[in-house]
Amino acid sequence: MDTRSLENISNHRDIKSMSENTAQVFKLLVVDDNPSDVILTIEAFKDSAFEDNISVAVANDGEQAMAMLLKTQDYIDFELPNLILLDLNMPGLGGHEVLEKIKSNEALRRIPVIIMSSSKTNQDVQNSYDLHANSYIVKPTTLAQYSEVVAKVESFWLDAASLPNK
Amino acid sequence: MIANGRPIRILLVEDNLGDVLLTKEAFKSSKINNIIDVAEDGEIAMNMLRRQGEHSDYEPPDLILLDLNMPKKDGREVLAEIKADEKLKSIPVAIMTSSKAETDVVKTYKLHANCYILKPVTLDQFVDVVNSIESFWFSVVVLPTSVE
Repeated sequence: MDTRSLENISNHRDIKSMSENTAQVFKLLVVDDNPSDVILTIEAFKDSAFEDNISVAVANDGEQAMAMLLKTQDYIDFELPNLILLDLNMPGLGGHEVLEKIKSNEALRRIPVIIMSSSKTNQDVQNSYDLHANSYIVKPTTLAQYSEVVAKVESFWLDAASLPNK
Repeated sequence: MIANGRPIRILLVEDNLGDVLLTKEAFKSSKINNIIDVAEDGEIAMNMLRRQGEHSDYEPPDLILLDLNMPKKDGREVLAEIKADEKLKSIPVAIMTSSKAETDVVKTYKLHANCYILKPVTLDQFVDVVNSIESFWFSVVVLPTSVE
């Protein structure tokens, strides 16, 4: 009986310390028109060490991303993300245009934007940094590679880096 | 992702000698070959980046680690100048400061800092932070200089 109650106490402590950690939920916005890339990204974040602290919102194209970020009509209650993962090649409003809109908007430009594109061209990389992308990642192809990239993104952006929370 | 396995060049802009030593020490144990140049204040940093005077042979860095509170030209001014300069603005700038103030975090992201890192205190913590900088910036990220 004594052992059990000790276990209970330690469990209780674990739960308490966990809930203190989860008080800050990390909000991620993934902007990608490719459904399989979206699924791979979400799966990789689900498998990660931070899974309980992350909520992922998805925009299927640039227009939807801007509607969410500017909280228009359907998205009045949308909470601004702490970090944005942005694809470049999308129909309609492309990634560079979305990036430019975010980084020239007074309320939005503080949000770090990581470009995640299958393009490796010098022009896309240079252009993205010139438009103030915070970093540029080439899209992985397999789930294992996604998990590796996501783990490194998390270890840097969720742990080592400080993010603007407001 | 740096092409050809050439060393990563880092410009450390820091006026505190102790922090310079800790940063250098932490990067020494790195798996990635790196060269660290140090600018002791913001004015020297801008002269190096613009290759003025004695710095005419200076090679532009792959990443800048920038302290905020420095005499003469402080980190915010250096950041604003870099990000307004057509030739320099694509170089990633990581703010590395002991300031936890939300105003500093927000202000520097708005000035287009690429990221904001709280300065560690002990060597062990420096090594941890340097490891996560490396595993993100030098293994996952495509830097503007790696695709020339």
